Amino acid sequence: MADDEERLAALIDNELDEDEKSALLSRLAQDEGLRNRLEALRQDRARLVASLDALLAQAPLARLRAAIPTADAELPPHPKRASIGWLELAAGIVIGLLLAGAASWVGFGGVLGPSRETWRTAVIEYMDLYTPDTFALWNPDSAVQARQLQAVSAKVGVDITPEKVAVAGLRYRTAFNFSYDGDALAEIAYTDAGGSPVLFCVIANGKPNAAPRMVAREGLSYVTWSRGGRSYMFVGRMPEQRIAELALPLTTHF
Amino acid sequence: MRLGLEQCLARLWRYAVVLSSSRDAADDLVQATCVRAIERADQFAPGTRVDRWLFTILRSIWLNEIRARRVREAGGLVDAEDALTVDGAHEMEVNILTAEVLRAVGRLPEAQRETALMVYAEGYTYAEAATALGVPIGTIMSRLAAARAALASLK
Repeated sequence: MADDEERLAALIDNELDEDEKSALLSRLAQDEGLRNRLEALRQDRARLVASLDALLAQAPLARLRAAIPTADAELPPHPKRASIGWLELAAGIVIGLLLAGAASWVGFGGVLGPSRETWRTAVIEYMDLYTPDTFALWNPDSAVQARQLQAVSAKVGVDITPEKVAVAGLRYRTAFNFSYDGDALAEIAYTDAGGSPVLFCVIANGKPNAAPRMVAREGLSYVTWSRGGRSYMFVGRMPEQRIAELALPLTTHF
Repeated sequence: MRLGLEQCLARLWRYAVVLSSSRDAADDLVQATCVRAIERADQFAPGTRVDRWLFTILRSIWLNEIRARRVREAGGLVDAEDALTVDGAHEMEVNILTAEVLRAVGRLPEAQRETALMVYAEGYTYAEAATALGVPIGTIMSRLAAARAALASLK
């Protein structure tokens, strides 16, 4: 450490080891001039930080955002429902699932067969059937929520707790155990302030790690990533910036 | 990766402005960073900080491509002082001091203002900044001392 000035700055920056810090604090207790210098440095630092932070508000975000490439090789196409027969069949299955409270999605996958491009596509197709009424009557208390999350945790092999899946601005509604192509798939359902469903899905598919990425299409936005042999998706009918903000605690915990 | 970029856009732009001393160049730099990050998304290590990874990309593009081109084309670099100001007449009164501080930062050499940004605004430790910039910790401390001296001259 070269001199007092640098020691004081390092103290403010929390860069001193315990011995150096202790020695400097002892000197500060006895030296008013040193204390004054410390306070001046604190103020200089605070002004610099505030000024640099002011630059953030100047960023031309709309222009910069438009420059982010949208090409995404993994983008599942938004499905066009091929036939009314499938829709009726799927709707019947969904109603059955909802009445049962929780059920396997094996039948769903079996009906759809290998044409389903990804598990995300399947979830998104399923989500097309949701309305603000879908989860209106699902109001589990904390004990029920804990049991539901324990049940899905056990299936997908990830520790999913009420704390980890809490998302400010969203209301937890329920959790389902499904299966997609033989892989356990957990679906945790929320609703936003307007009752619109938002889903957090976890599938134990053994995929390699992949950083979170955001996809927006036809009013629906989702964030998806993979970690520890599980893939995740957080999806809702809302602007991409909003879904990105809401996803932060989930991309942090999982 | 698009998500990480969205979340870091303003900070990337700030870093680009501080590095390039030019708002136009900063836009180009952020855009190039976005393209490179998307191209190399598979190289990002999950569980590490995406912001730091993006800063590394941005700095690499600045040093190896944009700054080199600007030096070739203009025969030198512009003064950062004009780029590091806060716009907006409605903010003028509250930002007089801010503008003065940023002008003072703008008068610093590039390496000093970059170090000040990393440590003071982006929260790099001295060791992290030293690693990111490829210099000893002592150099980080001397650069910060220079930045503080520039601010002290405002009093």
